Amino acid sequence: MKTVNIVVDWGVIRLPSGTQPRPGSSGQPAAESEPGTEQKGRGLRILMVEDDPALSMMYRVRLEAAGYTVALATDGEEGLRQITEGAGFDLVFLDVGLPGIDGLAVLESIRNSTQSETVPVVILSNYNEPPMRQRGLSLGALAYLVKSEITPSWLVARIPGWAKR
Amino acid sequence: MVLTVAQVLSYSVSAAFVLLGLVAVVVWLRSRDARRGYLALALGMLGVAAVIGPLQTLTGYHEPWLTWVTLAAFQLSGFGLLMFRHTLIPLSRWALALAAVTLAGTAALVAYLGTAAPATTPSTEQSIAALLLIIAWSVCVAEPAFRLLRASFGRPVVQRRRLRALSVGYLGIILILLVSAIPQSGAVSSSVSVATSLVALFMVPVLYAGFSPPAWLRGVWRAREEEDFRDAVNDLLLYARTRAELAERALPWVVRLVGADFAFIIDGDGAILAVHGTTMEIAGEQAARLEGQGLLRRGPEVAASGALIFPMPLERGTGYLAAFAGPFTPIFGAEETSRLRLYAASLTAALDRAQISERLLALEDAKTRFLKIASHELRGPLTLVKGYLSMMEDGTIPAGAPPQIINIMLSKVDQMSSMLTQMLETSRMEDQRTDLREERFDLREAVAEVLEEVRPTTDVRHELEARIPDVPIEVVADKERVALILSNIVDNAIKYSPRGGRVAINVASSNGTAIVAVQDEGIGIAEEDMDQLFTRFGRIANDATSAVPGTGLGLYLARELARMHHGDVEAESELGAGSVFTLQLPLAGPA
Repeated sequence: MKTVNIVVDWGVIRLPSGTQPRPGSSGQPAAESEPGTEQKGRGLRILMVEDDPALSMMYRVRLEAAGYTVALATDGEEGLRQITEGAGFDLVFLDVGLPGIDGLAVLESIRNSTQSETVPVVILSNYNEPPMRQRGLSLGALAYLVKSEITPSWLVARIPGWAKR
Repeated sequence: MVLTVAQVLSYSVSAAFVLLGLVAVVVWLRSRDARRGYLALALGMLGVAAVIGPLQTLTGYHEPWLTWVTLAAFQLSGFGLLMFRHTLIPLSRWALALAAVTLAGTAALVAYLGTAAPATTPSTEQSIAALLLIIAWSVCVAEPAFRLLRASFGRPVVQRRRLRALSVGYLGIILILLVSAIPQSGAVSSSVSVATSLVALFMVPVLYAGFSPPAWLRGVWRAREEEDFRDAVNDLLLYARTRAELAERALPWVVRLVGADFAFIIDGDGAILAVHGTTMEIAGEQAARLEGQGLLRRGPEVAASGALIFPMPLERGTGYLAAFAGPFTPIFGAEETSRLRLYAASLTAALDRAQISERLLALEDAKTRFLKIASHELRGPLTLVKGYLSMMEDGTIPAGAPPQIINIMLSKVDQMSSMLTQMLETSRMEDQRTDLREERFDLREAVAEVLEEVRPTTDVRHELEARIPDVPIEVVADKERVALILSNIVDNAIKYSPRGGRVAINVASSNGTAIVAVQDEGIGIAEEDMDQLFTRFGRIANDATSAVPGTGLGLYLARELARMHHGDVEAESELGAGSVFTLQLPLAGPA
């Protein structure tokens, strides 16, 4: 009998500090506000409600590289708690398919709560269904984006337009 | 001797009742069933009671014992009808005893008073005794008559008409007796006598139709119901999405066609396919009872303990249709039985045909789910790979990216690839296009190869510990498919252990079987979800699993592929504590 041990673990990703994207190198359509204005990001607090840890880590890597402070929530309840407990987020990225209460229900609760009704919310989902999109927008989401169709840098470029000033 | 109209009629009534009684006895002798026996007793005794009086008048032979016989016959005719009702709708023993005692008592009283003081004009006591006797008889007869009338509602037409004919016939006789019992003056008396005789004459064919309707009469009665039956059969031809839907649509017809209380259909595999008129539980109990009594094996159809049973030789095994009589729906006549036999045959064919639409529906459903997987589940890993690549391109991630990122991307690409493989394999399996390329190989190598390919899917730490024996474990199987089974099981162990932990893989052989057991310390599976575990698209949806990407095909494929190799995949689990999935394959024979 022989015993084989394997450890699978990808650990936490840390980029070298001061990493910045090369301006204009993105293959994305021209953004409304050009990349390179990312220094504005400094100090803004962003909440990412996303149940896939690999995805939230990827977005955090990009957002932190742009100088934002990022908080993570892995389910709807946790996200809602962080938002309504007055952490004062400048922007919330909200997934729709979440364990427990889904993103649209979270959004509805946010809008019904006096502490958080004005928090800017952008929906990031991989459900590309018109009724869901309409419901999200009617609940006051600034945008309904399909994750697989955008890149993290494209997203970062639009943050100044969305974030609470 | 010149006879008056009233006399002629009176003799005709007696003759008609004698004839009716004889026919009833003949019908009973032919069938010999208890129910007809009681009816023959009721009508036969009525005939006896009807014939003795006129015979005495005609022959001039008067004896007290003849009166007693008349009284006894009359009361027996009442009791006979009550017993007939008892066979349809049971009466309590007490009620029967009370009826018997009352009937006998009143008859004895009349007989005693008649013998004690024979007189041409009855005394007051005699009149009262006679009235009591008629009342006792009438109650014994009226109760069944009304009960049969009530039972006739909602019955198939032939039974309805028969029950009503019996009921009306008897109510008519009671009416005649009560009218005759009221003393009348001479002139009125003879016209009343004519009228009652006419009514009595009319009741004879009505009663006859009740217990033995001729074929042509049944035909007339049934004409409209034949249309119903055609509609019922036509309904079977209409499109039904599933067999269960078809069965559910057919059962109300079954109940209506034979006037059953409830009915159910048992599928070829023994499961209840549809129930109408009762609950699933009661249907289950009845099915178990029928099974227990061995009634199902006894023949093509059994009418036992109030049930009609028709076997249905379906493609997936022999099931059956069972219709049950209830308290107010007690008899299944020959027409009902033969009609239901025809219907069961049509239903059998229709159910087998519905299997095709069921299959089309399943294919349609599979297509929709495949699209959903493609449109949603595949987008997750795609987002990640595209996201990191774009960040490498725009310099967010510098050249020489951290190795974790490459690992994550590879694992996400693997995830997509495995989802695609699962979809393709499932689609092949659906079309029965899975061809196994069997070869002889060492299962230990297959396990080692699968373990080498395992990549982290989340940021938590998993330790894989494989215990592999030193001797070869040879199997003859499709190596790629076995690798697919193993990687599905190992991936699941990691995916569903979100807090990390140990995954133990044990390779062994025992009694001609190769075994790979994969044990995790993950979220486990609830007892009630176990059934769903190996079904196609059977992902168990709860908070703990909703974040885990997957097609819902992995375990379904693993088990089906293992079974194609004459092996199996089994699961044991405790919610919150972890699971063990075991692959078993037959060991290869000596080389």
